[in-house]
Amino acid sequence: MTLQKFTNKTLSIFFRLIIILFGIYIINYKDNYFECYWYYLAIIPYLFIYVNTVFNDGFSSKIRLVNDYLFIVFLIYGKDLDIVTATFLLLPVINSPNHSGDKKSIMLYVLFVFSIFLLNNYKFSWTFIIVTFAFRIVNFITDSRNKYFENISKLNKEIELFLEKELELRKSYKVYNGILDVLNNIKFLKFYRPTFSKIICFKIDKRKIIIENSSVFVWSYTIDDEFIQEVINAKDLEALSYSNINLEINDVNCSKNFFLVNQTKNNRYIFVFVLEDFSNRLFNTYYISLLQSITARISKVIGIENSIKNENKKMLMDFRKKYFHIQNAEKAMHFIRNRFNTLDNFIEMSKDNINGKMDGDDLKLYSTELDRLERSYKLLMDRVKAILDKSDKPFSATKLEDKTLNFLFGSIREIWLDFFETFNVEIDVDVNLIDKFTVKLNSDGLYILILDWIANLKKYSEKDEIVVFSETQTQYLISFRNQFKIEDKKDILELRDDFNSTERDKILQRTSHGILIMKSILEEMCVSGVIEVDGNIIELKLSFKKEENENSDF
Amino acid sequence: MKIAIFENEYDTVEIAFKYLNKKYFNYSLKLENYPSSDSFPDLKKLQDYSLIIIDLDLSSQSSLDGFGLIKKIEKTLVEPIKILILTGQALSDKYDVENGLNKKYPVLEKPINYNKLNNQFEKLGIKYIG
Repeated sequence: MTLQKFTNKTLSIFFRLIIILFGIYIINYKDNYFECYWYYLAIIPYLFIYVNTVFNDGFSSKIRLVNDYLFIVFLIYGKDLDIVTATFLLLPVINSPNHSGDKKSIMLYVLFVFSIFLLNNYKFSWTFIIVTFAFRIVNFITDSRNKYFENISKLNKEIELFLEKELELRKSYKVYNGILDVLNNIKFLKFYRPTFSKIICFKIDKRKIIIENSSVFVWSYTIDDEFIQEVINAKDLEALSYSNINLEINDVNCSKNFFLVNQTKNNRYIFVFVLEDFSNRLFNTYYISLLQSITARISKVIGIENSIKNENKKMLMDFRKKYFHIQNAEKAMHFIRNRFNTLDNFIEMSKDNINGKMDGDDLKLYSTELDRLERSYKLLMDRVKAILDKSDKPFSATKLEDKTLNFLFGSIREIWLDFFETFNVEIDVDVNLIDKFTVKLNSDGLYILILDWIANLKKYSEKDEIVVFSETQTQYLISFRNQFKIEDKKDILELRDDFNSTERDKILQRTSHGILIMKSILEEMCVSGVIEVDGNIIELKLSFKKEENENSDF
Repeated sequence: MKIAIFENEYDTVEIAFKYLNKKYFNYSLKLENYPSSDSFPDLKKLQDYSLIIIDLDLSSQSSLDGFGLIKKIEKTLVEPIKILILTGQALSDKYDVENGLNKKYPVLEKPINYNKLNNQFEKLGIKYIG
């Protein structure tokens, strides 16, 4: 049973309890027409019928209604119609907004009028009708208000469903289908039920309107120019909505419509709801007020989608630059390899020469090859020099941002959990002061650095891998500790010496590429690092300088 | 014997071929260099050659690369002809299938010298008949 249904049934049971209690009060308060015990006995069939129909809807709800009125009329039959008995008679009418099932409403008032007629000694009076009418109107207003919020709730639910299932890039338009369904099932006014056929969202971008997404594929559109200008120049977007603007979508006239405008942090969005058969400006306001908060939510979702798209674009642009660098390196390799033909052949010919197997003509060829080799050598060296000297490195960690320890912690944990089952960590910092400080680092550089180290940790460590976060007055210290296999001690000590020394970098450039990358990233981020070896424990210690956090609340 | 060599950086291998020609073939080879697939327009004439040597990366000016050229030759020539592939990187075992060739051809990986060329020539049955 859904929560909604459970709530309704609970209210229904509660209401019957009120009827019974009120009924008991009336039995004791007024002179009774029948013997007292008849009234108490009447509770039994009343409850019996109710209990058998409470969990069903449809026809059963009519049975419950008739059941209520039979009981009520029985209880107050023969008694004067005073404020108490009148209230008792009105209970079903007052409670009607809580009832499930809406076909009951006519029946409810008919039963009510008929009941008064019965109790009024079968005399009809127009006051019955006036009273009924008054209650009907009040109930109608309450009912409409409930329906209004129910509709907003349904529309919000569509967005929730969508967010749960479909928040995929470039698919936010899928939420429109759900919304169209809800809109087309709203029974607000009996005589005004327009058919919603399309929802289209436009973005205002630098004084132009461009299409953002839509429930149908749109290849062409024209919108009234005056309207566009008005929206672009509008200062206050709070209650901006329009009806029946001149609009053509895919060469089809879609001028039966209404427009809603939303402002997010960075953009303005226009939502167009296209109606099929008719569109009345006045009655559209009901739908417009329903959709105001909904379109605001969708704007936010689109905004997030766009942020993600932009991030992706930035990443791809970055990657592209690096890709071209790699391509150039490959091309250079290809060129170099071709040049080796000359060298290879020259070496081979030299063997003949040394063995005295060359005559005059051979020596001429040999000499030509030597010239070519010399030229190749020059070309090769130029190319090699160009690659090594290139300042257009594919990667640089010099762009620094301010990040809190939270960020460092999160980044390290994320990478760690890619390699290990659990995050073994020791935290020895004052967590209350974490937001007071930031450290300067480059997030890409940090990622590569940590990834490299942890990957190696996973490969070469024997056991007891742990990350320790600690601090001094001026620095955050992060150390990676683990136990290594004793037979690797020589390599580990060499690693330590290579890493810690500043004098071996030129040699490292030829030999140990991985360490050099780590060292150069640390250098570019101005983070100091040192490796310590104690027994068979190796520890990499990184020190990040603390900076005052300008954005902190401290 | 006519040998067609499709190679766009011929100066890197020219001496190798010339020395090969002198040392093992007594100048009997007629070596012809074509830097691109377009420099030999009528492929039917290749039927007259004893061997076609094709470098897989022909120049960017060429409308066909090495594999493209081989495919076209396979389609154009009636009688099968000897082809030797020159390449700078190792080819996979299924390179013929992957590139739409009718069959596999002998492959010589660069860098090359005159002795490596001679070994391949021998395998292909191209010998000096004095």
